[in-house]
Amino acid sequence: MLARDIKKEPNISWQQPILESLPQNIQEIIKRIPLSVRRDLEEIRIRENRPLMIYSQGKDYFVCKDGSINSHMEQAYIITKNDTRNILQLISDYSIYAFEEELRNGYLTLQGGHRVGIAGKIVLDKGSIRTMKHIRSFNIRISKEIIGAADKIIPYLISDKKLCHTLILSPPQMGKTTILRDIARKISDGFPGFTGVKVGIVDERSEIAGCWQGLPQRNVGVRTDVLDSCPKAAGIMMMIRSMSPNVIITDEIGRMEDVDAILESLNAGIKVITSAHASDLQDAKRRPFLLRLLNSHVFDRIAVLSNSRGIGTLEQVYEGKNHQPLLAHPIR
Amino acid sequence: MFVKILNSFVIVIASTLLGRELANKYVNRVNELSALQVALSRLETEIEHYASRLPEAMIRIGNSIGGTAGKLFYIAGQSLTEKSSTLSEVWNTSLDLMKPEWSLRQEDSKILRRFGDQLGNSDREGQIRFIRLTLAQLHDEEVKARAAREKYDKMYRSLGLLGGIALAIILL
Repeated sequence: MLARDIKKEPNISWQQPILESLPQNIQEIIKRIPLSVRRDLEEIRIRENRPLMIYSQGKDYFVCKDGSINSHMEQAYIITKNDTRNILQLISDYSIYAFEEELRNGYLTLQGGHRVGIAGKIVLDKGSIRTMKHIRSFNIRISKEIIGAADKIIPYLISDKKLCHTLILSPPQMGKTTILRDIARKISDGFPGFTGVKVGIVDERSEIAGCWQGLPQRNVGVRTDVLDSCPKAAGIMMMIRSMSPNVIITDEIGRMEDVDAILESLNAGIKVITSAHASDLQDAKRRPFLLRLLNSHVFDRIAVLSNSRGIGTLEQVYEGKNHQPLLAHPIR
Repeated sequence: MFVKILNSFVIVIASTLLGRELANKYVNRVNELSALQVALSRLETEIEHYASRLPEAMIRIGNSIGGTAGKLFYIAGQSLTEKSSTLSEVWNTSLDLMKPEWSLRQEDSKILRRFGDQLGNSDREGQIRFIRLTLAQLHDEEVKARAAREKYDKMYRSLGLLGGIALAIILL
């Protein structure tokens, strides 16, 4: 009966690449999770010798062998050593040696742009991380693109038909990357009243475009080039030199050198849209590198995201030079 | 009389062929061991310089070197793309599939099976070290196989022919 249900169900786009990265036994379990929960699946958590767990609709669940879910761990399926070993082989296409850089960073990207976070024992070499071994934990994050996520913010990023230098401030998990991605798509494809421009994405953590073997797995627009897994500072300079973008989009600036590169690209006449971790403007001013950016008044717009009206709420947009608020109330 | 002569001919030919068949096992083993070493060296290059993924690397190597060793790599690479079992399972199944086709001996298969257990499981340096170790072991076997070939190749061939003639004379 279960098999028939699986056949009849609507196509869930994330399922194929995710299932292919799991061993047969876990695939079967995941396929049997009730559709209502499975459709909104956000994370699959795999930890050796501990229960199989999923995160969906803002809650976590233990998963039993028959795919049923509950909040008691007693009946849950316990991940075995074989499972973790197989998963590592499958996500790396049996070639863990080809993923040294990814192991150092702690994650791999699957086909479809989904990310698998990994944790194990770190091997150090002269104080810096050389590689990771004994990998026992996997966090399979199902990434979904939301076309139209940037519809609300876009009008504030354009003034006199020109794009503004924009900084998006947001705490983690508020849809910052999703919005950046959709901004990239919109300004690259163009929309009524705005002609598409060349966009360069420097995607240090492969999150914006979700590249798999260099190919964006997300819709980031027709005039968009992506430098995947590239450190931001170096990537911004490479982009400017080689791809002549009109706009550079990058995620989560967090170091002084990122700020230097951004200031450099502003001097080259390129528009910059970027983001940083901060809950509001005051919070941002407490971080030295952000303070430096804000004080140099290079941004035309500073947008703040929150979840006051659900994830991805546009809490406030400030005019960049004098920090005047432009929104009367948060919009979503 | 004519029938007797005909029988003798058949006996001599059959026995010669049998001798040649036995001798060929020694010749083929040497060739297969050396082809396997070529394949592994290629794999080493693929891993060290191109960081190619195993399934595609194996298919590529299989296609280009051909023969039984090439077939082993090709079959293994193809099954890996199906992503349905672990690497060592795939490798061992491919070895089993190839078993009727080649002249390798138990000790050679053992080296190959050990190789499959470690393949794909460590970082680049580890893989390279491991491939080199396997190459050295295969080389040792090849040296032994060559010595055996020198010894038995001619012997089985002559034995086949002479044994056939002897048998034919006795039966005449």
